[in-house]
Amino acid sequence: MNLNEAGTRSLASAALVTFLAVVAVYLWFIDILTMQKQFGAFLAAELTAFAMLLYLYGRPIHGEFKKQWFLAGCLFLAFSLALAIL
Amino acid sequence: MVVAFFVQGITGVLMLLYYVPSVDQAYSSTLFIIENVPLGWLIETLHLYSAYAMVLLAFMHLTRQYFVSAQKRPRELMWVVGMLMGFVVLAFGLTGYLLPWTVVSKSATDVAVGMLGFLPGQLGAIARFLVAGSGSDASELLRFFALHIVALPAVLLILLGVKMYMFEVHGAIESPAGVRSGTRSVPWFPDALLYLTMISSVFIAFLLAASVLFPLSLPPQFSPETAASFTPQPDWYFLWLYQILKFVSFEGTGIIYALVAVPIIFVVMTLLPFFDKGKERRLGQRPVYVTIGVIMVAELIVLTIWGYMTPGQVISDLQAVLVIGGTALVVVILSWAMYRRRKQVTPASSSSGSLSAAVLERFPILAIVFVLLLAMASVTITSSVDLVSSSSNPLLLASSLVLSAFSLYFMVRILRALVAAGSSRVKSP
Repeated sequence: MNLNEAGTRSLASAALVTFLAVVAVYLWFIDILTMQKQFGAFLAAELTAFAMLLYLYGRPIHGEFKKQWFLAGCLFLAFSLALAIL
Repeated sequence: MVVAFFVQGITGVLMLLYYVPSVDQAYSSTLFIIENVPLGWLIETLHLYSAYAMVLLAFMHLTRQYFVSAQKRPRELMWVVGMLMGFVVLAFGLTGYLLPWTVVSKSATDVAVGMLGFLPGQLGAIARFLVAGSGSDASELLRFFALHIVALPAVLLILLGVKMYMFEVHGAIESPAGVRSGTRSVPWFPDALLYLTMISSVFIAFLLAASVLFPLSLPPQFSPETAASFTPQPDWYFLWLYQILKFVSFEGTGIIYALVAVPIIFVVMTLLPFFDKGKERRLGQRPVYVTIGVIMVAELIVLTIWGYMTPGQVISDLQAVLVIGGTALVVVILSWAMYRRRKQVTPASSSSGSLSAAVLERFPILAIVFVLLLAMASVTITSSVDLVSSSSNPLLLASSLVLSAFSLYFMVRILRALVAAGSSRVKSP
């Protein structure tokens, strides 16, 4: 995966936008009185995905796009989702 | 830090909807927020963790600014304002800690307020009155509440405005040679704005995940009976001070020496730009200031961990000298070895430029590993001192010493790698 290629970035951005939309709809309809923990964890996932999208959209401030940062974001996203589901 | 302050403001205002600053209802209203208000526990935990983050980030920012010599001309006043902001952040922690009126917070605050009474002359009475009012629990809580939600935010915002203005005038500090090269200007819109939004989102996501993972649980309510069976201990960011105050020399009337010495250190730190007037900013050329800085950071970490491990335990002078002096000695030896090695490094012997570039690129990871090793060394060295003085469990003592040696060895390796890389970067054309 080379994030410095525009095609790869577009694909990853599309996936993130879809994820953001799905989670936003889920958060809108969730019953926060009974699912407070899930609400917090999904909000963390939403913010992480948003940050990853900004990373792909904006020009990198320190040189080129780095795969490691994106993978770290994916890991934290997975962690937040695990927090919500488990 | 600004984002953390923003999170503090939002969550604080939300808590104000339910929190009642009276001795009878402070605890029950906090408990009500946590147990009954929808997402109240999340807001309360976010408030706490963002406060922790603010203290930690302020400390990291201070350390970073010290080591890149940000206090040097023409940014002397920026440093002074930054230090004042740091004190305000600590005051936020102190005042906010009391508000839930738990046995932990009230007992620790009583110790802190009681210490003010030892200040010489009328200073003690004036300071106590300003902080705790007439002396009753109700006036103390009300004073702390007013300071926490009105006075301190106002002061912090004013100082932030002044610092931002000075930042606009002087601009960002350049990286010292050998740490990073090749800077370019970045437009505020959209690049810097997108970057800051991204960092803020990640930061809040971390806070949310931490809050979900480790939600706040309130200790028992304060009452004289529960307090009697409880060892007061401050929050982690005051543990270093707590540990100093437990030294046997500072017990009783000796506390006055601590109350004079600690503010003197703070004043010297605040006025540092007026002592350190040299123009040299590179780490490799400032051995004395770098060594003093590392000693301060190391002592702070050691005292914090030691304070956490020994709640309520009075520390003998011998132990204090061994740990404080030992830490300083270790840092001085490491620093001496590091600078000696730096002098010996020649461009030919300092390996290739690509290797040094690789080491410098990993600087943040190496710095984190170094701090972890320093923490491990702190724990094991303080444990060793405890075990030697109590002369118990030789196996534990041996393993503690081995771990200390292991941490110190790898700390030296990291420092040597960084110095070698930094030297070759500076010397290579």
